[in-house]
Amino acid sequence: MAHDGVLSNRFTRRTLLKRTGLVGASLAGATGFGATLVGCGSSNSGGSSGVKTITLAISGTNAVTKKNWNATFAEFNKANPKIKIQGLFVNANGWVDFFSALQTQLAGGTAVDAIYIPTEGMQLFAKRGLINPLDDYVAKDKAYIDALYQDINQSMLKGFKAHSNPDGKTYYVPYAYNTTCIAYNKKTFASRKVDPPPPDWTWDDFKTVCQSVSNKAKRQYGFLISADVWGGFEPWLTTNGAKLLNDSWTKSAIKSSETVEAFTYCRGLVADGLAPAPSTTANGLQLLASGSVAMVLVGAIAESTLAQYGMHTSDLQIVPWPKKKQQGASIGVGSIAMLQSSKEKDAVWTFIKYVTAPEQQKAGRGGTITDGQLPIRDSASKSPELLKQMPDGAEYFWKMLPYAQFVPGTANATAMEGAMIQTWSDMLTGSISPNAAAKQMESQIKKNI
Amino acid sequence: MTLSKTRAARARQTPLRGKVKPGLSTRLAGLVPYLFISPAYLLFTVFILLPLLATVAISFLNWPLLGTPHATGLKNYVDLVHDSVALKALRNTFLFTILTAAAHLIIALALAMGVRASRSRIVQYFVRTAFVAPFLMSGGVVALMWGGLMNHDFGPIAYYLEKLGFNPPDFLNSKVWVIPSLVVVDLWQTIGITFIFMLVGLQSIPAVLYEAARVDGASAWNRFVHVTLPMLSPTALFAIVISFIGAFQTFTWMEILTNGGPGNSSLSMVQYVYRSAFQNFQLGYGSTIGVMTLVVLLLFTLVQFGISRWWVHYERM
Repeated sequence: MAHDGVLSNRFTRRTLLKRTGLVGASLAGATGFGATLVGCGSSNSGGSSGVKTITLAISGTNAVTKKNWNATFAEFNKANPKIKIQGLFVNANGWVDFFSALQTQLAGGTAVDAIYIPTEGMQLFAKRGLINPLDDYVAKDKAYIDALYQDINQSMLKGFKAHSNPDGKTYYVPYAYNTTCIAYNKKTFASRKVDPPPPDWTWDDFKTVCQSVSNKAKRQYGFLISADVWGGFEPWLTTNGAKLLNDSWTKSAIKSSETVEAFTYCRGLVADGLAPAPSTTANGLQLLASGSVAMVLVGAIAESTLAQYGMHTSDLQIVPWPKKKQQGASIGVGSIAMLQSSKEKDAVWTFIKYVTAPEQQKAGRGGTITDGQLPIRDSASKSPELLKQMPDGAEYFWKMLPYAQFVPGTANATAMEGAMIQTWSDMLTGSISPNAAAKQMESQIKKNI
Repeated sequence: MTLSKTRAARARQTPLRGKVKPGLSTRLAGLVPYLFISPAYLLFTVFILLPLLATVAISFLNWPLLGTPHATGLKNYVDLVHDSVALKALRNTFLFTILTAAAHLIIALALAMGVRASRSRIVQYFVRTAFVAPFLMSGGVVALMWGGLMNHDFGPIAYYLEKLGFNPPDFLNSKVWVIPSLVVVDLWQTIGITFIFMLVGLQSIPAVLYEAARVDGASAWNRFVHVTLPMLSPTALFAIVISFIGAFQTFTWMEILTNGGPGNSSLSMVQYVYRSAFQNFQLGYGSTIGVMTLVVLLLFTLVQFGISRWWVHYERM
């Protein structure tokens, strides 16, 4: 019997190759990264034709998202033949994923001129010096910006300015927003003989509705709780008078009896079989369409999005989040950010002005409506033309603005949000108690704020 | 190429008179073998060795992605030693790896023996293809598919177990069941490859050994223990090492199906590298975890090869 192995004293060519292969296989398995990182660049432009090309990074790769943005780019190009825009559609499951993927691409040298950034990522990118301040452009086009700001809900604008421009400079001009509301499937409600809830419904009403529509044996549930901050637990905190951070986003405010009460309520929905346990692979609209859940969280939503799931706007009704102590919702504002590294900053500014212009806002350009957002201008988001493209009750998206609380978007948003989402999921499945979850989230906020 | 080889051969055959220097063509001919192996070593250097060296270097830095790196000495390593999450990730990874490697070995061997025992070639072809087919699927698709199947509230597995009178756990949200569930997903996709290794190994065992054992009156069990297992041991060692390394670097199932939860119960080492480097943007700390993962993996692979001298048989007829 002959033995051979790495520990053998015989050192032959075969042994050498074997050892090399062994080390190589181990290295290949253990090292996922390590490539040299290079600085950010900007996309190519100019050329003999004089056409400038700018690249806009956008979260999402689904067909509707691409179609709408590409149509917007084409319309923009018609109006501005010297500027061409190409979309860099990043495949991401949520904003945390998008920010992670995008920062990695930027570090790897991917040339990007502009990014569509929501509240969650504004400080993350601005504080790292990636975003070009817009103060000079804002000053140059003061009349335009003043008119834009006058056409925006003032409480939202105040919150946006406070949270998006960390050092007093203007890094972002608002373009779209979304508030959390709930959509229910009218057919599901009708088939289970449940009356439509009133707009001022309470947590108790909500639970009663869930009990009426749920049947665990048939795998039917009242509401799908999102594994998310904005649409997951923040609305429940807001409607109970709790919040994640203090007003200046410098300290945690999550550890409170109101938070624990909200968490206990949500855990109860899962434990009582009124809501399914959170799943990383569950698709809310799909479950809503099949009748497996009767209600889901929604932002702005349009026919083209619903059509992917075999639904129409007429199938759904939008209602505000149920209240406990007060009316509430969470809100995020989106913006087209100009990158510091862009060589075509003027072209980016032209695009920012284009998509925030009244006529383009009314036309629902870019990701508005289809990607869960409403145009930032009141004149557009409240317009009957736009409202009729969405399910009944879409007016609650802007009616909830005075009660809405901004989703946190601190400089370490990805780490903070990722950790809190996991804690939220663990609490909902009963792995940790609501009280422990609140404590854990507080330490996660303290660590990452 | 052939001409060069011929010249080189002639040069070797020609007796040297005094201190005659070899010609240029002879010296060039000596380089030819290196040219043949250079692509492999070039790829190894560019894609494995240099990234590894970079990872080791970065592990001594505090480098926020897109920020300026600063040297921190051994701080990342000291932090890692005191990091309870890293310890949990290591424990999870080992549990997943050991369960996966053991299941691979046992199930693949059983399947291979079953297929080999089948006399129908059609059955053999079909089963071989059926078991290897999932390996061709994207890991993301497999994860989503199993996410649907294992979903406690909507999935068919829990539904039918309930119909049969069981009270199934929430496979992906249970601290106890999450790792075994992920092992099942991994096996479903990758068992086919180990199965093929085992089948080839079984087919290469000379029939004369079994005939001799039968003549000596060995039972089926004794033939399995004293002929099949020893003769299959080199293949088994290869299969164990490959599945061990593959399982140790697992990422897809945890990231898509459980996000490392519940309570980090399924967080893997590679996933923790990803989180640290690309979610928390701590490139230095992520690299440190990567280096430690490499060291652990290398040590255990060496141990496997070391132990193999006592159970792997390389004898051939």
